[in-house]
Amino acid sequence: MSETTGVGSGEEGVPEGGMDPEDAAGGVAEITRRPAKLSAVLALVAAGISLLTALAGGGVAVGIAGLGVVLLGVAVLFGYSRTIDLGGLLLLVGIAVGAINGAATVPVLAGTVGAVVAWDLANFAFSVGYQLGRETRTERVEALHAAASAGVGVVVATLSFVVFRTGVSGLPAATVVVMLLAALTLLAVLRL
Amino acid sequence: MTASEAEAAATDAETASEAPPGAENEDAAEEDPRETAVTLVDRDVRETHHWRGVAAVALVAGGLGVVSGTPSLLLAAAVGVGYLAHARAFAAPQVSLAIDRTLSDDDPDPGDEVDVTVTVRNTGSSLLPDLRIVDGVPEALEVVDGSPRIGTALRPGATATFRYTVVARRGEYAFDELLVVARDVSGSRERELELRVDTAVTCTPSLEATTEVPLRGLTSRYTGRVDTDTGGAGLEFFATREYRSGDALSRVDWNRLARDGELSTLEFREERLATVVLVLDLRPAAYVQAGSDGLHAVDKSVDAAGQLFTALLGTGDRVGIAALAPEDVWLPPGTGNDHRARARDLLATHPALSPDPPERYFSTQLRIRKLRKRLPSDAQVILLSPLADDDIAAHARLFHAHGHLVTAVSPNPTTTDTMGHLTAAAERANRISRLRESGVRVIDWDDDESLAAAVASTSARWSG
Repeated sequence: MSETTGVGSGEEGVPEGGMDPEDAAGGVAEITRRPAKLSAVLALVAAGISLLTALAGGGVAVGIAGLGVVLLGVAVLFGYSRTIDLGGLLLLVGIAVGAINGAATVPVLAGTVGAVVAWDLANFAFSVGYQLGRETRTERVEALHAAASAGVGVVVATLSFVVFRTGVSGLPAATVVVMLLAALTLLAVLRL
Repeated sequence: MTASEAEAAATDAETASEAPPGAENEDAAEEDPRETAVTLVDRDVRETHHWRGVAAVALVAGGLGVVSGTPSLLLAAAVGVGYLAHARAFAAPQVSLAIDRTLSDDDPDPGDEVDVTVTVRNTGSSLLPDLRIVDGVPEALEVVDGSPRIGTALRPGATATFRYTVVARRGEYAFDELLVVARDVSGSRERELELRVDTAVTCTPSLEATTEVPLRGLTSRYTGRVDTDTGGAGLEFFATREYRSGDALSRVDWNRLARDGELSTLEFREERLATVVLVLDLRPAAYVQAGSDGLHAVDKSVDAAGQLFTALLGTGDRVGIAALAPEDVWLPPGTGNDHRARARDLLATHPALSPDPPERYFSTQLRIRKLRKRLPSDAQVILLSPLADDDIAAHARLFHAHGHLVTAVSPNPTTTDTMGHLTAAAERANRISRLRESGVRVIDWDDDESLAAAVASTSARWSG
């Protein structure tokens, strides 16, 4: 309980005007609302992996992705939630620039998964950290969420890579796009 | 030990088929003497829109892939679509929980630490991948160790336990609803519920007399133990005076008659019974404390009132209780066991004496006037107040001037760590010495001192 936000932990001498009811009532609000640790660390690890894969795409890609990692780091280390989305987006843009510059397929896929996982875990760190606080045991839910998030990315990336490799390279790109759109539309319509 | 068990199930209307309470939970029946119905607020399922941006990014990546002819970008877009499918794949979880809250002591003394253990069991048939629970700790109870919250994932039948410690305060507290937020594994849908598990903690001060109360020489007509400044029947020698016809022969000073041949009568100090009214200062200005934790001045005052009350009853004096509060607090002076029980009840559970400051405005003037009408003419006043403002000092002087001799027992809420606090402490010291000048006795009760020690060290300096 080193840091508290919200209701001040008032050191009252004799305040002439009395004190806050919350102060007198004790420390219901005394939780440390900071991003949850495990998710924050894992988010940074994922962002780091994503940055490493951006190395395959040349200097500009690394620069943009690096900026994204910095923004994500600022978000989870200092509890500044506004830069999460921008950080994740920059990370993806860096990967995309690398891809256009001719990076190999595997680093691009790994970088994409890493960026999405980093962004997702950073958000999760905030939602858990702000709802439950640093003092609360949340490792279980954080670990499960991280595993699920990374697992989905790895499975989807592997599947799409396998499909890409097994001799459908002759298809026009438009076909793939139409397939993606079809998948999106299906998702929207099904409303699972 | 108390245990409250609640079966709670939140399901969509068409799948409301949770197990009957107790059927799945083998320890519910034996452990719980007072199982109660669960009031349950099930808010609607909410979309968190967490993954919304991913759709846009995936489409843009796919478009870029086509335009620039990069197949790997198309694959990246496929990854995005995969995540969207993941987000869509799960419905909001069906929450069915058995919650058990156990207190290490449900009738603690004020200041005791009470361990609260909450056990949550997933009685449903599906995995709860993201379960966040916030226990409804009563606002007045301070959590000193652990956290009344947990974030966990529960398989069907699995349990999670969290434990925290609160400091008991005087009064009766019921735990509020537990807030439960359950999300699906992707975090795209969440369900929020409130579960009620009835647990209450009642904290009554034990009313132990640990101190002897110095009283002032304002007494009733009845024989008691307060020394007065009048001669008469008693134990302690007071004076001799000239013999008047009618004086009892046993009171004649025979030694003197033998020596001088003069008849004189011995007088003894009369001991009388006192009527005391304990007046609690419950104005918002009295809710102050030294430092940020521990008990505030009102808590200490109420605690002291309990001790004084018992001590005075023990010596046979008549004691009453009154308070300067929005609600009417008045226990007329009396004696006996019933009176003691009434006082214990009043001090423990009267809403005006709760640890929270009053929310309603009230006129201290009117309260004082009403109190003065009620006070028996021979009653002396023990005022329990931190003396944190000038108003209360003025009122104390007024009581004194109206003939109700006042003793102030004042928990010291000042600290000396900052300039402002030093000033406040000096102001209070001034206030106390002005009160003493006008004849009011003040027992300045420091934070780290027991009431008995404060009373003893202060009353040693008093004369008469």
